[in-house]
Amino acid sequence: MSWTESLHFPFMQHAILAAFFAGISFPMVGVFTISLNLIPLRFAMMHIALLGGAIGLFLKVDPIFSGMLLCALSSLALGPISERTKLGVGTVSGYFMTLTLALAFILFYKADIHVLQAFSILWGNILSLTWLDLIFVIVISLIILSMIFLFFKEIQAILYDREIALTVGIPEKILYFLIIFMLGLTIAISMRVIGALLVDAFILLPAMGAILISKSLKQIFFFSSLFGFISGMIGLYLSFLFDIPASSMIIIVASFIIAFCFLIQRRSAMEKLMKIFSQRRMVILMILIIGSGNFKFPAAAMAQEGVVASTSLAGAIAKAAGLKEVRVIVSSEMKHPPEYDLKPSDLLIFEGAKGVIYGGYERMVSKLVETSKNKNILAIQINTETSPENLISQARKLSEIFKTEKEEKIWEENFLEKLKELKIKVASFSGKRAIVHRFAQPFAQWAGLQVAQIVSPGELTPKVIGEAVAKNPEIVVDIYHFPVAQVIAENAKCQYVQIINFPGVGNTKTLEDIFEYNTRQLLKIFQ
Amino acid sequence: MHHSIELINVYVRLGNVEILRGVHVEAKPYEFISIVGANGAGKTTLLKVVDGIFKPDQGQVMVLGQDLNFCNKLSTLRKNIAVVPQKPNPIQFPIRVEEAVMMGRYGKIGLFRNPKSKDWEKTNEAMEAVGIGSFSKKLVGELSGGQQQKVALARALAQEPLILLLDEPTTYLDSLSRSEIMEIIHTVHHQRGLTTLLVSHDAQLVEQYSDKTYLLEGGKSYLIRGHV
Repeated sequence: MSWTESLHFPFMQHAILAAFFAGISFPMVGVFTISLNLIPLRFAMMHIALLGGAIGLFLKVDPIFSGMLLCALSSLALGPISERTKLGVGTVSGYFMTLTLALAFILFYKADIHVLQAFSILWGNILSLTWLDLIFVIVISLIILSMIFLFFKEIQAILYDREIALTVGIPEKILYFLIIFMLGLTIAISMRVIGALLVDAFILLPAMGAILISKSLKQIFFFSSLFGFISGMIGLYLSFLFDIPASSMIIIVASFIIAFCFLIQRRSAMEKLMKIFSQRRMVILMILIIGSGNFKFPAAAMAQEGVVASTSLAGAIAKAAGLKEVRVIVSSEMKHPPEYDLKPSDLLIFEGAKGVIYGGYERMVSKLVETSKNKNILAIQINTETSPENLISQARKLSEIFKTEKEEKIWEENFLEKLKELKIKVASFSGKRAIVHRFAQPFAQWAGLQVAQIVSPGELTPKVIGEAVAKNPEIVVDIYHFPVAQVIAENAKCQYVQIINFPGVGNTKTLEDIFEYNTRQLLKIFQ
Repeated sequence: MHHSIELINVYVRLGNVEILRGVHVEAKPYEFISIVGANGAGKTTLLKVVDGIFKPDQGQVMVLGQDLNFCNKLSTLRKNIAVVPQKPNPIQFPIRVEEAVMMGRYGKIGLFRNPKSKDWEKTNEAMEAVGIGSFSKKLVGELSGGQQQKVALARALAQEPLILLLDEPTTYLDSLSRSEIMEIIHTVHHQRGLTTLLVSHDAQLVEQYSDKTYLLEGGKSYLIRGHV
């Protein structure tokens, strides 16, 4: 598939439009960030969004909406608070950052909120934008551009010297608060829409490059905008060309631009560089890069009958159900599947697929389905709890949908046979008192461990640790993909084991492999 | 005649420290007033009180006939008060001299409007008045300390103020530049009919140009030269 052909897909169209608008406008906000030393605000906004998300999940409203709302309110309050306390926005941001994180964690515990679900509001991706996301990016871009156009001279005075701006009779405070509000809002929206990683790429990096080479504020705004545009477009193109996650590629391009600006600043180094890359060589290089746009995408060869699985576990359940062509998006080694950075090929495999199977905690899947051109794709949510009963029931459900009941039946017999065999091995340590990670609970129960206490993913409280240690466990069963409980084993001076839920670790592939691997881990500990 | 500036029994506390304790200062229109005192005497605070940046905890501040305790249109009032700060903040981005001077016009130009030819005329006049017309296209960051101080003075003049507030305008300059800057200030004060309030720790240097001199010591003001 060629670069131009790829433009027919909605996800590419959305990504290009977002890269264009974010590219030209977000770096202008970066100029404020650097000139007014507001970098801590970005970290504060991340944590404020997290708290907002947690509040949303608690109140059962859309966590993205509550996250954005809290960010908007906080950025409105940040300016006046820093003025009153005379602490500076950077310092007040630090205060907000730690306070909101602490409050978020208290909510996770007290309201029993799924940590991954709350964190996923921070993990947007430019390759999985819905129309609504795109509209958000375009609207905020237009607001930024008009703000700079309308208030250029006032912004110039404020960035030059706030006190001078005040003394010449500019409504400095209101405009300064507006700058902070816009910055907070841009960070909050872009974090959700294009991902926390790209926020830096679009906001900070082009502005840094522009500041290095410009001779006036107008030039700084112009070059930051130009560099943002170039990073976005070339980054997306190269991401497609080499099938590399888009966010990372855009950052690499932006970093190259900064290095280039640094060289321009130092003329002598630049002259040497120009000698190495004579004009003719550059032309040949450009032709080679553009020419290589007509390449074959490995993913495009995907069989029409295939299905896409969001994680290796969903993939293993699909195979158990008798499905032959299963493509897994998130690599099995990934510790936290929701934060996976998408590659273009991940999106393209959707186009030929019959169905997508997902667990529900990967927010990206619903967005990918929405942005896909393939409107016949069947989105099937399954329960990925790893108890044998549930796995069998999910495999049956899939086999009914895809009419592979015969294959599923054969798998089911083999699976139960395998479990019987393993059950004999685990019999020796059944009844042992265990503290168990919530995600490891199904396996622990199957293995016959006596579950004395279940610990939730996230930060442990002293009370939870104390209670767990007091139960005098013989073993702590933690989860490889999200370990939290080692501290309990250390304090209780007992055995500690990490088991898996997603195949991939230790060459595991199937659901049987998961049980075999986990049994082996337990045997290693007790022998 | 109304006073341009009148501070009556002004007290200012910053945090737990009482900086000004019953200060009395008055400046009639077209007067050149100096306020001298050691470092930390509260001279800069006094200027900020006149510009409405600090509110007095006690006492009355009258500027151009308005009581600042009851003034809710400070930004309008400030268009008539120009300030030359002690030392400019580190420059955040490259800016040409003429652009930096033009900033003095921004308050008068108002929101949503661009500088017109009249504003450029006033900017050029201000640059000529302080002798920086020849390097109007240069970057401020490339200038010497004395030249940068002239840029700040030109910006203040471009504002076409009634009151000029100067905070230690000669501190970071060599002795030759000090006299030169003071001569320029004195000349524009007369040419433009300004009310000038200058604070300095160098009593000897500024006294000769002043109609009245106050000493600020221990948070109190003492008239040491001239008459009320």
